[in-house]
Amino acid sequence: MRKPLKLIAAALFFGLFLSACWDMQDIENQNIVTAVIVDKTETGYALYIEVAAIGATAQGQEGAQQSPQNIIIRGEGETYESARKDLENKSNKTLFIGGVQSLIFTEKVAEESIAEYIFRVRQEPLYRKTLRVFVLKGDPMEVLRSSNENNPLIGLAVNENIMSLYESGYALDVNVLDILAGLSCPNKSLVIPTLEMIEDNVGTTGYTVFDNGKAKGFIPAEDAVGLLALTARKFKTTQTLRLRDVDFTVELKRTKKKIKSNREGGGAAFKIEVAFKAFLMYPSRKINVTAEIQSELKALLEEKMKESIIKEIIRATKTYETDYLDLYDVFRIKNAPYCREIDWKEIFPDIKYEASVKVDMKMNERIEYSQGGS
Amino acid sequence: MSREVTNRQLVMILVIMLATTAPTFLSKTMAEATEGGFWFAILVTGVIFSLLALLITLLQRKNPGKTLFDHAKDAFGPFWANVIALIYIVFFLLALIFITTDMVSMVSANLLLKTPKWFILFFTLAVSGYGAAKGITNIARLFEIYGFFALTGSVILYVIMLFLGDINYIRPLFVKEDLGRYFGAVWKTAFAFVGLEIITVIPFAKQNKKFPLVSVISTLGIALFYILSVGASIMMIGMEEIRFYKYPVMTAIRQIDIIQIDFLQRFDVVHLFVLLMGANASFMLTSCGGVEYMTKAFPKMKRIIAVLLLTAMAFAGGIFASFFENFHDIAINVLTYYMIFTAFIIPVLLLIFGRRKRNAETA
Repeated sequence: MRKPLKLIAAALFFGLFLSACWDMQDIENQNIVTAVIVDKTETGYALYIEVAAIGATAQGQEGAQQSPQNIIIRGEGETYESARKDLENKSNKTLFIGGVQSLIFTEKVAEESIAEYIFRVRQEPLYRKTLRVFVLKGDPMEVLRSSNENNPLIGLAVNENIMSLYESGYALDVNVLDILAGLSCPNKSLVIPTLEMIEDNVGTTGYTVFDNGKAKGFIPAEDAVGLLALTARKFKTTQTLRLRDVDFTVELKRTKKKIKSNREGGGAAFKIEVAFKAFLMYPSRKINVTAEIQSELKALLEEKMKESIIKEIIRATKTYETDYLDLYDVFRIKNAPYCREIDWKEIFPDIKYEASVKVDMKMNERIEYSQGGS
Repeated sequence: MSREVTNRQLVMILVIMLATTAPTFLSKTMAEATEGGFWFAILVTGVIFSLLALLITLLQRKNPGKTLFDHAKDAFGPFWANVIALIYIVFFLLALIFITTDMVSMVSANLLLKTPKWFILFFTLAVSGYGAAKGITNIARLFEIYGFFALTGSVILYVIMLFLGDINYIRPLFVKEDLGRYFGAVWKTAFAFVGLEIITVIPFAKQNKKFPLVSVISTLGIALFYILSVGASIMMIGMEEIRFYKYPVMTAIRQIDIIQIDFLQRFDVVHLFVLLMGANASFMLTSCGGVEYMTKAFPKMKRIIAVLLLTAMAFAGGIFASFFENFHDIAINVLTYYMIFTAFIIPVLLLIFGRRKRNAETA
């Protein structure tokens, strides 16, 4: 046989095997799971999954032909494994979990522990470790049957919701790997975004504090400014301040976060420096925003932000006594050998801290508020 | 048939031989052994191995156009040359069994979950055998393109991981009190440089005067590549968490979500392709190393027979290895000890005795 013919024959022969051998599965024969909700029952656990019904259409919606409808399946069992088996039994096709976007734990599971399920996710190669994790306050079925303006699949909708908030700097984003990293280091804890039904939509209403895989408390979103300022990769907030009988709405962006640590006696001391850039968005009524007003606003903002940060440190050290602010990392980096000898959990509630906040006040570049009159 | 290679081909051979399989598990080993000081241990090991590469290439330069086997024949006679060839054959065979079974386990655990391991092993060895049958020069030519893609693709991915990961996971980068621990980790890191012995089958071309320098710089470059790979993987997964994964680089790259590139958000698929491409190339080279020594030690044996024999032994060895749960650890230990002979003692002996013989002839 001539060489080109040999090559073509070889290519065709090897081509037979390019469908992943034994692992080949037609997408038509799989149920693509987009969300998993883990709930606790009286006898064990319940798993709710949302399946993207490819080909099915949302009823009564204009232009819904391209949107997959969601199908909900509930499995129950004494263990996670038996609940999963129950799901498989109820599903007419193989469950494909590589498409899961959101992993949601109900409050009941969060209070018991999410560790076992997270370890289950760790060993499962099909699960992406970047999938977002949430805690749910309320009934899983209510959430799964809720509607969303852009995406009928709740798994995708809540994921998009947190991502858009995170990208804007308004929220924290937690994925499975963050939780695994927290679970494998006993000195670390973390907060997980918490979902709730807000009228007909599901949205993020705050953060559940976790210690060693167990929920310890809840921080409402409106009270999480200090938490976000200290832990979010990006941080942005809007604040309304009352000054001279006028409400000033200001947007703040974090520009600097520096945390220094020192050993102090048998404990630890932290010096936290945070800087923000503030933009005056608008006053509630006509006013000439003079340099003096700007300066007063700046002072007010600095005080308010410092208060939020200190409040968060107190909440972490005294209320929940767990380090979800990642202060251990700061201390460990500087005192690695010492950290091997100490019990951080014992030291953490008594840490000393000093916070300083600086605000760089800027006026809105498009509006001239100094012409606002008196 | 000439078996000489150019400098660029030599760089690619070394990169593919060393830097394609070791990164899959090195980050776990380093996280356990050194924590943030991994870069120091890798760098020290890199310097040691670049000196060994220099040693071997200096030996090659003494006798242009000859391989290590030919030096051994000149220095000790055919009997001892054959003994040395056998040592290298066993070494390359063990290395081939180890890297193929390890990669097969990784593919089986992460990608082809239901495909039997024996089938993946068979397929992998068939491809590597085909490469080995073509000889080192043909492989080297192929790797000029192949190696470039494998290396560039990996570097881009690891740099992206640096941006996505958390630097606090790898800090502190140096703890004075841990210096002893870092030096202790050199032994564990040494395994990442197994395969350097491939230089012994590449004869030195007279016009290729920079051969020793290129091999030293390449080995140091590979050490830097390892630092990048280990650092990026730990930054993505976490110092404590990474210890739970046998092949952490797979987990790390699967975390890559580049939301800015909408059409290529799952960039990890590209890396898997690059990784497997590099791994297959590494199998080809290892097979080639073994086959080169077999054809030298048994000159009457046809090259194709040597390829079939080595591939069959590697397949049988791979099946046998699957019965041992801790084969990975056993193989690492055995091969690291073995390397003392193949990368150090034998080249040093040849350098000393070769010089003595030359001096005697001159006198």
